[in-house]
Amino acid sequence: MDAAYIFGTSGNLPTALGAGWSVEDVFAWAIGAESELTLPLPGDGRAYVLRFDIHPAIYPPKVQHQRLVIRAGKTALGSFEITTRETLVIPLPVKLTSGAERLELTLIHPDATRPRDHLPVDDSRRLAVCFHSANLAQADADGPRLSSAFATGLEPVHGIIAGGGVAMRLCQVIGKLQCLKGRFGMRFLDLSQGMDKAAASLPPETLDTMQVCWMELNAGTPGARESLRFRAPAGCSVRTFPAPMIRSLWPFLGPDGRAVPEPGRYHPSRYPYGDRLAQALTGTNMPDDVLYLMYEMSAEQEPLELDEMFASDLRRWRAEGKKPNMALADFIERHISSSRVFVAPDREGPVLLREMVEQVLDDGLVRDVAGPEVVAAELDGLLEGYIGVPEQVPVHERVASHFNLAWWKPDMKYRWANNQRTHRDYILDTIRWAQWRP
Amino acid sequence: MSHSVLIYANCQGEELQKTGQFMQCMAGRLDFKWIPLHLVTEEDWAKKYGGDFMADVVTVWEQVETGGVSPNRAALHDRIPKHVPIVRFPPFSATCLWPFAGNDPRVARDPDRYPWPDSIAAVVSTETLSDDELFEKYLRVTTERMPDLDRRLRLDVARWKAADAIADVALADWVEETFRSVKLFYTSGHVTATAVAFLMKQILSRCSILSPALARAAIGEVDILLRRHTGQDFECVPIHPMVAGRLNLRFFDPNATYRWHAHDWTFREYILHYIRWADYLK
Repeated sequence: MDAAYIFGTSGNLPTALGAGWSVEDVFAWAIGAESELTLPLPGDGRAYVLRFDIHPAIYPPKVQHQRLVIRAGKTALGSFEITTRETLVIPLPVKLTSGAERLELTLIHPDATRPRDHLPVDDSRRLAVCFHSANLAQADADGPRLSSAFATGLEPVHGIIAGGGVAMRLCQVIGKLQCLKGRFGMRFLDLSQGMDKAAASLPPETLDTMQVCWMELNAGTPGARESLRFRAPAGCSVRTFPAPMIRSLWPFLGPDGRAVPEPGRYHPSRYPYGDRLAQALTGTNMPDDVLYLMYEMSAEQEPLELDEMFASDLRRWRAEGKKPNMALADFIERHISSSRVFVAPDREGPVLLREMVEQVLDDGLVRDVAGPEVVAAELDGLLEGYIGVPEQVPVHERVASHFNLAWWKPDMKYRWANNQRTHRDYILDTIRWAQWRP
Repeated sequence: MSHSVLIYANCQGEELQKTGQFMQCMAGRLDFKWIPLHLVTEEDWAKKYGGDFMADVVTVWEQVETGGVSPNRAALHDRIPKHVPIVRFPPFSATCLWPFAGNDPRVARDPDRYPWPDSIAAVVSTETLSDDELFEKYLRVTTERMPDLDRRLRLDVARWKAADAIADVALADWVEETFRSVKLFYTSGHVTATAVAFLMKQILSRCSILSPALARAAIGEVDILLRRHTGQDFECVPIHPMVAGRLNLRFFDPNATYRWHAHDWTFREYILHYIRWADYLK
């Protein structure tokens, strides 16, 4: 629960205010000596924190502050001296909220004062504290369910996903699933760093107590991967997964001699994927339209065996899939036309990331915590509109047409850092090796 | 010895800095430094922005603020040597495009998730409704409470002109003439590359330390560097269709998607995520 309550006639607390209020459009003044406020509670057993955004009626030098005491029945929740606009944070005792469906508060404010006694205004209300909003949120999303292991920052069932970018993104997604919070956790271990440095970013004892360890094939050095296997405790299930690459969607890729790091500007290079047809046109001094036409003519004449290239990709993924514990070839083959499985040759698209997450979570350890349908529903919400990493390489029309890519449009824009380019923009910029700003 | 342009501004200053740093014509001639006026602390002035930091500053690009001189601005002025020329420029801002920006207590508790509060979305957030019902209610309440947007625009224009009056670069007329036809704002304070490019070129043309030839080259590079750039679009707050209609925003596309970190959402998707304070990927 994370409830936002707004005071005032335009707010959402029409029946919450009892005696002692003067309600205006977007706020309400607590007036007189006491005010009554009743807020809804969810009736569960969790701990909650109540916050009030308030400001006092002050008229220096005579009235420099307002005192405010907040009580729930006989329980004193807090006592404050308010001199400026601020947010009061009030932890609510669990015994007060457990099973309760409402919280009845008494606000005691003994310093209420009349504006007309201090200013040339016709306002005789005895104003104390102006309430703008309130927020009722769980003190800790999973407080009562925590095991003692959580005191170290680790969940009862936890593990790591070691590797590079794909491993990191898998952990990001899994880490945001509320249904697993506090009970199942996967942490990212960056295999591009030395083991000691990478492990230092994990909570203490992670590697000694992890129950599952996923390793991205070919990420980091063989030594780092071997070292991690060695560190895994007895009983830890060590699994591997590939970070798949595809060649058939980008058949014109090729190294470009101009692709070198430019320190402080572009790393690994200005256009890191390269395009051999574009490179062949380097130095051609023609207007944009002519230059792009020349590129298109080259692309048309290029002998391409796209089916064979895709078959080769499939063979590679299947070969990768024999040894690891994550098989992706069939999934990619089924979805290559209907969904954006890749956004760049070595960058997974949203549907592939989801498939990989689901395979990581397809585990008895997870099913004990949350059912597949609960996980799937959360993934639907979390990944709505997700577009993948902002390193997208444009797909040529000939390729899109051959594979009947449903998501592809001739004028679609591809994101690279904070830039968006059509296929035409990308090709012209690559030919000219145009500078751009990240 | 190196030479630096010091930019004192909000996050729009970072856009100027990055653009300057990528200009080939400036490489080896001028570096660009930025002091974020909205983040700088007393400790920063003492530790990061002392004599060493200021030693190579040859000009200052200072974003103005209407109102009094803040302690941070006074600290800046204390550090600028007398001979260093200053180009003063106004901030871009627009409140009329998001008339329901207001109180949402969830922002205070969790300021990074949805930092651009929507008071109506906050009000309806306590309802237990389906997505369709919730969105319908949001539309109904916002329609009922839509303020006088012409008045809001007049207030914005008055603020823009007040800032222009204390700056060397004027933005008010250009923004007023342009904002309906070209998207300039992603949020009330985050701008598109069109706005960044206009401002950068205005400043470069008034920067007295640059030779006319270098200024011309730099202005040309701005267009090249930013022609595909999206500006500060990591958080785009969608514009309410009724606001677009009332303000006659000709660039507005009701089916547009808006970037929110790693997502592209429609207006409806953004509003529902916001109301439910839903998590997302960065």
